[in-house]
Amino acid sequence: MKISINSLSMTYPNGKQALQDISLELESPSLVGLRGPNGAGKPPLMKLLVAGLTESAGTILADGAPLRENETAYKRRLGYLPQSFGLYDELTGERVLEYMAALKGLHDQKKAVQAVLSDVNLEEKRRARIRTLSGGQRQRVGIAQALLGEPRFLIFDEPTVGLDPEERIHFRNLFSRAAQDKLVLLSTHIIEDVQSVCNRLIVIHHGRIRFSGTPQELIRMTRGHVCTFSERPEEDAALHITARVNTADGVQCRAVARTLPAYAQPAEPTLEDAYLYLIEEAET
Amino acid sequence: MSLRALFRVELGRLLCGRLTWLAVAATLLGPLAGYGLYRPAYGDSMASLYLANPMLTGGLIGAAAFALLMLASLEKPRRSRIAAITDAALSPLRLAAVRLFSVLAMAVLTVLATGLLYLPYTWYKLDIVFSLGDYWLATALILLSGPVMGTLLAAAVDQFAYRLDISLAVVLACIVFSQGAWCSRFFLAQWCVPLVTALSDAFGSAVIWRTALYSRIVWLCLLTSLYLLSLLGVRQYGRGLIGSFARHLRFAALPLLAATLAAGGGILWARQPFIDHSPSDWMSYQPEDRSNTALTLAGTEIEARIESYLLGTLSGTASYRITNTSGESQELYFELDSGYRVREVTANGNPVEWEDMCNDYIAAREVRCVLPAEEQITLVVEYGGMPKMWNAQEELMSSAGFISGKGIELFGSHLAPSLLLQLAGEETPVTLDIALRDSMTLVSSGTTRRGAPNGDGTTNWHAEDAGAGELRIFAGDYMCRTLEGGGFPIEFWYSAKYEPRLAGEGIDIMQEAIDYCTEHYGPRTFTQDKPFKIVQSTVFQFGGSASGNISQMGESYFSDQNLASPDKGADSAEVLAHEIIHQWWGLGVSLADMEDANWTDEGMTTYSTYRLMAELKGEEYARANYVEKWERTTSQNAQSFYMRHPEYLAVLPEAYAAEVKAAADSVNWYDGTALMIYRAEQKIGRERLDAVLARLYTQGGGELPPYITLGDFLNACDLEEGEIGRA
Repeated sequence: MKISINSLSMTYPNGKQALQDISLELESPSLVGLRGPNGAGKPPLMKLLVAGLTESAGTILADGAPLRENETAYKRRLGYLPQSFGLYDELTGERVLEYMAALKGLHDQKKAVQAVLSDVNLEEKRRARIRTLSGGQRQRVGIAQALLGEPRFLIFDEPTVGLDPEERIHFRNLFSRAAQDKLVLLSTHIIEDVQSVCNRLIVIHHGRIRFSGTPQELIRMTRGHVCTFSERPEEDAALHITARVNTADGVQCRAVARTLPAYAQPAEPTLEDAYLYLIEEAET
Repeated sequence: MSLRALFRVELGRLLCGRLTWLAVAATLLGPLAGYGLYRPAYGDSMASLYLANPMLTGGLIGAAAFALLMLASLEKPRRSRIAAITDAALSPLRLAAVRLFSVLAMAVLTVLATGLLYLPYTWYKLDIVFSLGDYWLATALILLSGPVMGTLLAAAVDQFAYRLDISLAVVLACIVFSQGAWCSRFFLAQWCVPLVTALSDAFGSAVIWRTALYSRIVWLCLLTSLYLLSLLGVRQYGRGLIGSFARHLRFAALPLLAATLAAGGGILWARQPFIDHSPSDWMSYQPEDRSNTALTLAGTEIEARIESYLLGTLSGTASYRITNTSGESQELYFELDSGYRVREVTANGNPVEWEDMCNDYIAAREVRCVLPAEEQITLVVEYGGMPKMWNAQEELMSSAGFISGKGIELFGSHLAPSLLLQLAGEETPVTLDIALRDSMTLVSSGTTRRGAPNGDGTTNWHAEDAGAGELRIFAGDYMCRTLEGGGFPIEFWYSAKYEPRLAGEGIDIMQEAIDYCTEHYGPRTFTQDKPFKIVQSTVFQFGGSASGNISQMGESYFSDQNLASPDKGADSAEVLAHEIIHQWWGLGVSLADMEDANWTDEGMTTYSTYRLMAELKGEEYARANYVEKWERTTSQNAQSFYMRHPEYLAVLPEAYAAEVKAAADSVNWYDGTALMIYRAEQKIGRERLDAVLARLYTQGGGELPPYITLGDFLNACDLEEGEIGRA
């Protein structure tokens, strides 16, 4: 699966510009992390990719064919979990998945449903009505419906929200496995998810792509811009403090800056540091 | 994409919803309200009471219930945000269509279950007049119509409005409007359930079924068109109504199909074949006198053919022997049912030009032609079509002529062209030859003769009459009992379905009533050659009427409700006697008074029924079952709250006030007036009263001829106003 985004722009009817001149190439197998602050334009981008919005300018090609002209066929190859979604509360998890399997036009619906129920560890609760499930279990039903029919392009928007750490690791591995032969786009605020499984990271800010590459590349770009120091009474405007830790010697600060001050000790950047540095730079 | 699988899961999802079962329960229980709480049909035949009313009420409740279900089915994905997932898997347009079909399928299943549920009870209640065909027709055309139309409208409105509250308000307002006064006047205006004023027990309800089916097709076209348009407004790509509409216009088939269906529905509406186009101010309309005095009609021969019992169409060839004494060509007008069209006119074998005047008036229109100057002319008119209904009677669905597989009633211009000229003499003959289904018997205003069967399920019939210039015919599963009326035969023609009901003392008591009235008041006007015929007719004639030697008794006289009416008699046989006495008081002569609206035929007929029962069963029985009952009900009526305080009646809501007034009127008409006449008898003596009544019957009234007023009655009895009262 290859998704080509060319000069994509999206402006809401109220005039607010959500995306500006975005160009991207996404190709399977790949697990792409999508990050950006709130309001950066992640949901519009994902909605455009699931044909939920129409672009103001530019094109999206799926395997070389314009998405708009092949919408029905494209949707058959798509699995999508939005950040905010609902389910039919009166149905059981299994019935919801059967319903979605029918919507996706799957032939062997029972088998497909059993497979994804097993993938999301929900076999025991398959007969339970949605209204009786916990938030995490509902989230798992949501992930399961996206996985139905082994779609070639999976889009997950904050899929691990509400899951306990053990479940998060389970799903992280599940996404990683899926990305062995598929294209997976994972939008998340949880940096560990990106760091541990994504082979590519896209950072979007103010509707523009600020970075597109491997997490390692982003980290490398930030070397020499991360430091630690003991908290000082006066604020240094050039520093953007990313963490404060209470230690026996006082409060230790971690910060990013274009130029490190003399009193600070350079530190090896993490992906979180790199992301924050990138956003900080974009703001200035 | 397997739409079948999609439909299956959507239907399965519906079945898991509580609201679905609520809609199902409401539709299942809806018909119960039609037995008593809400009776939209006017007719009181058994089929009207136990089939039409429950089906109409069930249909209306089903319409509201399934409209609500449809709205909820569309609202829920929006409210629960499952649309965020489903829209990414399938086009919202397709999903909207699948949701509609699922609700429609649910509606069909529910109506089928409702039909099966009420079948045994309806069969039990209708008993001898039950028709399985009519039952399922009513289920399909009346009961099913509500949920289907309600669902379609709800889906369309919601896809435009995208707001549950607005959509619900609009749909409910449309349902209420459809049952309002304006819509009830036009059969096509009833979008939700068809206009059904009555259903016939014995003679078929073909007119109702035809108009119901036609109006359902019209509304299916219009609502489907609206729905297809609304599909274009299904919100997608984050756009509003106009944006989505513009975006979906690329599916050119949808707007094209919507436009085609809208145009089809519009054309069907405009060209409906059932109702004529008489002027709305028909009461003030004065048709021109087109009668040609230079032409005389020496004889008429009609050959009529029923073209289709299903469609109710007839074709015919009418041959007229005309004498033209003017020596010049003459303009001749003839009247023809508005639904018929002239196919050919010839005079002495030569084609004659004709002009359809297109001037509908009381279900007939005039056709003009010019006859040659020859003295003896044989005019032949080929014509055919489906009889139309007078638009003033559309709200009653009362058709002057009708043709169905169970009954036929035609007369005058509804049977054949009615020429506007003079009859040659009192014996001018008119004959009719017609082939009818083997199961049918022809009854006519003249004499009838059954011919040989044709071997194709039809039998030839011949009817002839003299002096009237036209024939009145009835056909159905008629049976005849000959009763004696003052030495002359009275033929009582009734549907074979009623044979069990009439086999007991019913016929005997009718004979007794005829004897009593003939002896006390005088014979009805009939002769040995042209016997008086009492013909049971369809419920759509609402009661009875008389014309020439034919007196019609609507079949509702024989309904359980009427036969159990305590106002008319102590038991069903006595009610039949009451209805026969109406042939004298009501059809023979009639009572009316401009200053006393309660002075009606009902009171005189009730009094005569009492007198008949006094002769048959003794004075003690008659007093207990009639006079004492009148005294009791009139006393109760006089003491009722609203009669003592009419000022409160004025402030009651209109519907309640009408109900109270109707109950009071019924007491005054039947019991009060009968009591007045009884009190007159007490004052002047029974013998003298009988003489007074006989004189009034034979001579009619003087104050308001031909009606007999209260003043006429008091004068004849030498009584003063106020000497006899109802209370």
